[in-house]
Amino acid sequence: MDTVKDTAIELMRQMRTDDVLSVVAFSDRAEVIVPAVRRLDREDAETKIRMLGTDGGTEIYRGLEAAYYEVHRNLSNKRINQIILITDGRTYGDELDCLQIADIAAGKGVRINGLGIGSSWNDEFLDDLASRTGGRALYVSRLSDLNEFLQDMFKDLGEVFGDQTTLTLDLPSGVTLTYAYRIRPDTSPLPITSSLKLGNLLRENRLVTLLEFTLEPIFRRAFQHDIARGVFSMQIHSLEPTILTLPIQLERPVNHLNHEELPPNEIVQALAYVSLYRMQEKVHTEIYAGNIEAANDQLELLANQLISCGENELAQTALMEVERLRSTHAISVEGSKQIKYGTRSLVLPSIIK
Amino acid sequence: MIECPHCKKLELIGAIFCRECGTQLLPTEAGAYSSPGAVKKTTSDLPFTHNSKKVTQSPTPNTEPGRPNSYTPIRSQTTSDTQPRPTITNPEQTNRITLQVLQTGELISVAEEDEVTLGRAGTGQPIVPDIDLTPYKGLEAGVSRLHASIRIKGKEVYIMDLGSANGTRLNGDKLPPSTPHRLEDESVISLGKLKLKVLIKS
Repeated sequence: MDTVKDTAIELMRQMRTDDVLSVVAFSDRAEVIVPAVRRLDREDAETKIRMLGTDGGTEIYRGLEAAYYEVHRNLSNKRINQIILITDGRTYGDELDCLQIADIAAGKGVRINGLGIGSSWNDEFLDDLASRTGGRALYVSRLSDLNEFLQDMFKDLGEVFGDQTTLTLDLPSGVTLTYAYRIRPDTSPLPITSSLKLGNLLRENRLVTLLEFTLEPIFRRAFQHDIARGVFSMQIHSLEPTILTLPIQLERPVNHLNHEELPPNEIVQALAYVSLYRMQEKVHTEIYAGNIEAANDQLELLANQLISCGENELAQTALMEVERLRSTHAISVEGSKQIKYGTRSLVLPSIIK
Repeated sequence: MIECPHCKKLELIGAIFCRECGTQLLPTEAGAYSSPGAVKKTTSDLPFTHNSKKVTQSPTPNTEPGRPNSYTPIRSQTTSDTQPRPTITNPEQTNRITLQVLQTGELISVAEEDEVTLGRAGTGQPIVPDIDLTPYKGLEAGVSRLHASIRIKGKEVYIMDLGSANGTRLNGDKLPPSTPHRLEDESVISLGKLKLKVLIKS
């Protein structure tokens, strides 16, 4: 808790005069420690943060509701509106209510980012919650890293050029969007919906997302295959906030010469890492389906690939989980998170220039 | 459909990677088969313990054109074709670190690698340890297949338990898994019940 408090105070000291910060503590109830006001009394706020203690359970809904209220009453399209949810526990029974708030927040352009500390929190829930708003969840394996994670998040906030980036696609029959993964400015899988929330666009940094489509064969003679039409939109934050919209048309020429067009090197390199992330996803799918042997084989294959790319630590974790899976038919929550967020973090933005 | 050359799973035409085993199915426009392994990190940059922040360090991209996928399936390895590298050696050899089996006095020289794993090698094992302790009654002593690792970082030497079933002790103190602990000359480590004295030449 001391680390969290120190970090909150450190970040508060770095705030600009126009920034608005609120701190909400939650257990089985929520308490607004620092209300969202302009011209914050920093000394008073620091004292209140210092007095924070830990008790009670983890009811994220309570905290999220209070945090959303604080953001909402200061909502402005001249600012980046964001909630950072920090938890080390698992919420029970209020997940759907939390997701409902996330959807409302997304509709108002409020992004939720999650930081899960340790191994007890529910990663699937936090991923879902964050991604609905274009945010992301991060795994903080050691509390001592929290400061660095939060500093990075706040630094990114200062560099946002546009937010509420959305890609709305209309797909013709025979075309399915099967996978979406944001590569840059941060890495995260995106839930498949008709309107993909892509996150923030940072200054001097591109927003890159990989989309995987499955196309049914076409039997008529055609020179091109329409994949999707749609609109990309985002809110640009400057002196005069503007909504920018761009029409999007995706199509591929049809090759009648029966030779394959090779994919660009940079996309393949990024995909190489995304495929590792997808392999660990498949491990979980197999476990949920009760196919322990298939999960075991898949995890072993993932460990092979991790070794081949020099990720020895992560490979070792995967191999330990192979042993565990073999003997207990389950993998540990800690190992599962290490592999999930470890493979996710391998999809490095630097790959795509 | 196209067939993965490694796991034989069928994928849709146009798939670039096999969803089953991660093998690349198409070359790139540069003609290279690019795997995560072709964008290798130097192992010296890797953290010793799991640290999700450090994992995000940028790798050094290997842009060698035409470099084939160096993927080698370790699951197909057997004990016979993957002999552990450091084994019992001449005690007079020049390696800096030697392990002495306390019960028998036998010496095991540790290769000058960044990291050396200790455990037991067995048939069908997906990954074998660098030092196989089976000849020193490792099985009877409760040594796990991948029990612990020794890491050499400059002049310092560390031991880390790899989540072994029977634990690793350093001078009698049980070590938490995945946490490196510094070794001194004449430190005694216990892998299960197998006691080894660490001899480090200064």
